[in-house]
Order: sequence, then C-alpha cells, then structure tokens
Amino acid sequence: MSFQGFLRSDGKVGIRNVLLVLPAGQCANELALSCAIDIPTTFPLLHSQPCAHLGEDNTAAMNCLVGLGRNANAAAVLVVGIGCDSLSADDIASQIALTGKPVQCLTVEKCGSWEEVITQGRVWLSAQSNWIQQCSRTTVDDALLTLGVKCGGSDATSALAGNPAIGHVADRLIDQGGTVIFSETTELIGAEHLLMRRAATDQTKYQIQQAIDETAQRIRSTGVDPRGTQPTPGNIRGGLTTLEEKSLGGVLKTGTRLVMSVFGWGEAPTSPGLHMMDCPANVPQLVLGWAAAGVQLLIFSVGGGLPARIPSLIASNLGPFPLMPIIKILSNPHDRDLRDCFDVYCGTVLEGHETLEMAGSRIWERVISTASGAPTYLETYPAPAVHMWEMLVRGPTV
Amino acid sequence: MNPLNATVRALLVHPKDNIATLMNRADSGDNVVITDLELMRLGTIRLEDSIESFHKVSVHEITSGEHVIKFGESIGVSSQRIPQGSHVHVHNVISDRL
Repeated sequence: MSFQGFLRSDGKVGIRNVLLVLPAGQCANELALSCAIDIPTTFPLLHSQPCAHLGEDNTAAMNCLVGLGRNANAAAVLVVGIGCDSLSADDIASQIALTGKPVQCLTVEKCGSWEEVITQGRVWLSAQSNWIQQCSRTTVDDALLTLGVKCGGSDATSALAGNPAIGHVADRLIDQGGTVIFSETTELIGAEHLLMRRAATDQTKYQIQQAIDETAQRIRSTGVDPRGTQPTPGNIRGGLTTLEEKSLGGVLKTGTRLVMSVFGWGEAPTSPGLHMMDCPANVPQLVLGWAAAGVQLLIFSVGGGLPARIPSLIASNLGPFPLMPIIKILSNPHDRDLRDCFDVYCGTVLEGHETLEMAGSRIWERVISTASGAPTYLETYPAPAVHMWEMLVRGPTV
Repeated sequence: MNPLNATVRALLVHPKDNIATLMNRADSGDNVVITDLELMRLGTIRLEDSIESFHKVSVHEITSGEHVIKFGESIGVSSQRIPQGSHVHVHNVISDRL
C-alpha cells in the first residue's frame, strides 16, 4: 500500500511541505512572526521556552526543538534567536541540518540588529517558499508513516466507537511496517496491565510500570484529590465514572500489537511499531512532543457533548498546527449534526449501521488521503493564526 | 431517537461485565434491552433510576465493595449496594487507583 508524499534527503517522507520558522526561545517569538508574515507555506512555531528552566527540562526542550526541525513535514527550517537564548540557536540549527534539509540560522547577535534578522530572514524564507511550492509528491510506501493517536473530550461513546476503530488503524499500519505513538500517561492509569502484557521486552514492561508509578506518585505527592479533574467534569457528564474507566477506553486506540519502547517527551522512537511517549495529556505540550518524535499525522478521537462543539478542536485553544495535520473523529450519535466539523464520524457503530472494522477502514482511507495531501477539517478551519505551544516542564521554574 | 426499536438498548461490552451502557436516555420503570456489540439480545431489565444516554446501568445486583466491571476489567469499587437496574456512576463507585 502506498501514498503520495514528499521524499526528503534523509529518506524520510513529508506529508506536508512546511517552511518552519523556529524561535530558539520565547524572546524570539516576535522575530519568528515578523520574518514569516505573508510568506506562503511558512509556519512560525511560537513556544514557551524561557531562560528560567533548569537541567533536564532544558535538555528536553533542546531535543524537542531539534526534533521539530527534523520532522519530515518541515521542508526547510529557519531558526531565529537573540544570541543570549538559554538554548543556542546555532546548536539547534546544526543538529537539524544533519537531515540534509535547507536550514538557516539568524540571531540578533550575528546580524547586528533586530531589524536585520527580519530583513535577512524574509529574503531566505521567500526563496525557500518559491522552491517549496515547486516540489512535487512521489509514490511512497505506507511503512514511512508515523501516526500519533490521542483522545480528548471523551465520553462513554469514545471507547465504544472511535477508539477501537482507531485501534484497527494502528494495527493495520504496524502490520505494514509503519509506526504508531500513543502517550497521555495519566490516562493509562488503570489500564497499564493490558499494555504491560503487550510489552515487547522485559525492559519495556518495566518502563511502562515505572512511567505509570511516577505519574501516580506525582499526583499523590500534591495531596490533592484528582477526582473531578481526572476524569474531567465533561468526562463525568458524558458517563465516565473513574480514571480506570477512562483509561481502559483510551487504551483501545493503541490496537493490539506489541509495545516496542517507552521514550520521553522530546525524544523519538528508534524502530517501527507501537511506542509510548511518557507525557501528561496536556494538549499544547503533547502536540509539540508528538511532532518532535516525528509524527506526521495525528488522529484525535472526540466523544461528543460540549467539547465536540469547540470547532477548532476540544477543550483547548488549539488551532491549526500546519507541521502535523490532525484527523478529528466523532463518536457520539447524539452529536451527529456536528459531523461536518469532523473528518470521520464513527457514531454509525453505535447506531448499528457499521462494524468497528468498517469504521476503522474509513479512518484508514482518511489517513491515506490526508497523507497524500487532502486537507483535514482543521486545515480548512479559519482559526486565529497565532497559538503559543508549550514546553513540558517537570522541574522548577526559577 | 433510537433507530433500532422503540425500547432503549444497553450495550454489554464484555461477558464478564456487571454494568451496561445505555444507548439512549431512559426513565425509572422503563424496560431496557441488553445486547452485545453484535446486537445479540441478552435479556431485559427494568430501571430503578432514570439514566442519561451512555451512562451505566447495573445488569445485576452489585454488593458494597465489589468491583464494577466494564471491558472485562475493574473500573472501580462500589461504595454501596447497587440493586439491578440502578444508575452506576460517581455517587456509588470510587476509583481503586487515585
């Protein structure tokens, strides 16, 4: 099986051709915006990395920024910085350049002024933009796809329709040599025994247990009762009673294949198959983590109810993330009037019109057409263009 | 609302489950048909409570402290005796994990 993608010099395949403008830190966000404004195909990826993080959080942020630049959906990358950023713009750029894709690095220190970064940045971006728009797609193997699977705004229908249908898609891609990444460690609590049974090695089994235990311990150490937050008030209204119930439903979207490894936020898997990224379920962090791990396409399963009525996504201020298209799935038949705001409607399963396998096949077809260039609902949604994406912070902010 | 028939259906996901998920809202006293995923009819129960769509109903009595089972797995522990046909939710189930 195959799709139409953009072949990169490192052998990876982009499903989109994005001209990525990456600030080294939050002080350079405005620079990135000013460089990119009105130049076609550019995506200024604004993010929260400050100078006030320590140790491992900085290492993870560095890995994340390099991973974002290496994502195959980025055709070329401009890294902008001040020169005194906590993460070196030059280091970020040189590590991205190992992929062989065009990379430029401009800082206020090197260019001499703020305005000069913008002037030089716009000249470079304009030239790259002209080149990018002339690139054409070629036929490539499905094995070159890396999918992320996520659920949000879940209600009881997510586990009965969308999530298990996505599980069929995950199995199918893995059987063809592709890669699938799941995450949201908090929302695996109560279902970890099912994943541990599917661990490919004893080490992976141990890592799953460790990720779950550390997350549960972090929650308990606050002394706060998580009930009412996990599950969320919206989950509870939708019929989900406990975190275990939410987790057991959520894990269905990982399908049935072996879990090959557990890796941290900002890192990337080193083999095909199914992998777990250890990260909480907070979307602005998760989306960055997935894109940095090389995910080209994210499948997002929504139950129904009020969260489904946020057209730009669910329960967040998310808008378009051009670096990684998102396929939205709707499960609740009572919200079927909203199905035009979604890419695939799976309530058919609960209406008795379709089996999970049939719904899974329709999601698969949407994955392949999206990978080949068909725009998703969110790619055509006129959401506000500017969003702030978040670095994962585990340590103190000083 | 329910395209299958006039009676409300509740879905039993796994044979070990002691709860089923209502496909539509139903009132106390209504009869609910329990089916599996293939729409095979497994039985009928009479509701003790009014229950919202996609919320859970006990398919038989659950004693206090017993595990509540969905997908064939524990989703928590009952905090009180739950008679057959009752709404099973945050008021009578607590998480066993957090």
